[in-house]
Amino acid sequence: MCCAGYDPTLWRCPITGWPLTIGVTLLGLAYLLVVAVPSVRKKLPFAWEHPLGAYGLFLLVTGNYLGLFFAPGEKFMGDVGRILHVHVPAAWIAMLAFLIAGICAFGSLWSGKRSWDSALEAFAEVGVMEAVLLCILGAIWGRATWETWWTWDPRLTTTAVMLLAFVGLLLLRAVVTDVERRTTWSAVAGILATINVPITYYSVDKAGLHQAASENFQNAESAIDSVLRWVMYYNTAAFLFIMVWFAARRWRLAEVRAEAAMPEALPEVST
Amino acid sequence: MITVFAQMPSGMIQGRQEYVAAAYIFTWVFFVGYAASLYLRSREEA
Repeated sequence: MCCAGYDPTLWRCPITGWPLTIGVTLLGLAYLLVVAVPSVRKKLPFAWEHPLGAYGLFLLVTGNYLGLFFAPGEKFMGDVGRILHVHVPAAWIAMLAFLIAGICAFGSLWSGKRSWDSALEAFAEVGVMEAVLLCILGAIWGRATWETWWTWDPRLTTTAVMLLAFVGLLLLRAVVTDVERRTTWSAVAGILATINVPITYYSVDKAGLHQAASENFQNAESAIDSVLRWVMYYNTAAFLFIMVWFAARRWRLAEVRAEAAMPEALPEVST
Repeated sequence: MITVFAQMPSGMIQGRQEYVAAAYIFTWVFFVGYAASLYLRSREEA
């Protein structure tokens, strides 16, 4: 595990670096674009999300290998820096899932369609799962670098609030049995909970123990070593496609449950 | 002076591979666990 990144004896894929990361990401996104066409999706003999899930799994296996054995240790953190290849993707994908949940909440409130409500439930649950994983990975990383499992740093605190807000949303959905009320209330709660996402994202700029942002998406600037960076993004692609698979499966489950909860149609009365 | 420099730590955290292993194991446990929960819940509903 120790700094095998530049070992000349290591087998090397002929395509490495950014072309590989961009290539695998575009391949997955292209598939999503293709299956977005209903006529194509209907022709598939299997659920559209399964190939994406398998692809995400493949990327996770190879990405974890790259993170553990190919990428060099971080300049100051050494091998502990390898945790960032799973910690950072978990953070980004959790925030993305919550953001999509917020869009679904807005769509549900706006249109009143059941599929938006099911999607809200799916993305909120997947986001909660990712955020719990994020907190555990962060605690492990914090213990290894800061010598503490948890501290009330702005980034950590806002992440905890964001997570709890969406846990609250899921609890609300579990408690309220009336379908119409549940749909409306959870959509409002979803929009309110999503406000935490930008707060969490920008909280890293506030003074605290958590280091400042190494990636600046606004200016496309980065303080991360190039190899560490593309491996981190490679793992992010893996997390992204696995998240889509999880959300799609969870959405189908929510749809089945919603269908079952619908009141049965009244029998036709013959006159 | 040379001796002093030689005694100084490099500034890089040494070892702690057990934390790295724990992080990756947790990731897989979470993903496999959540996938299993989805599968079981889908079977329940079917």
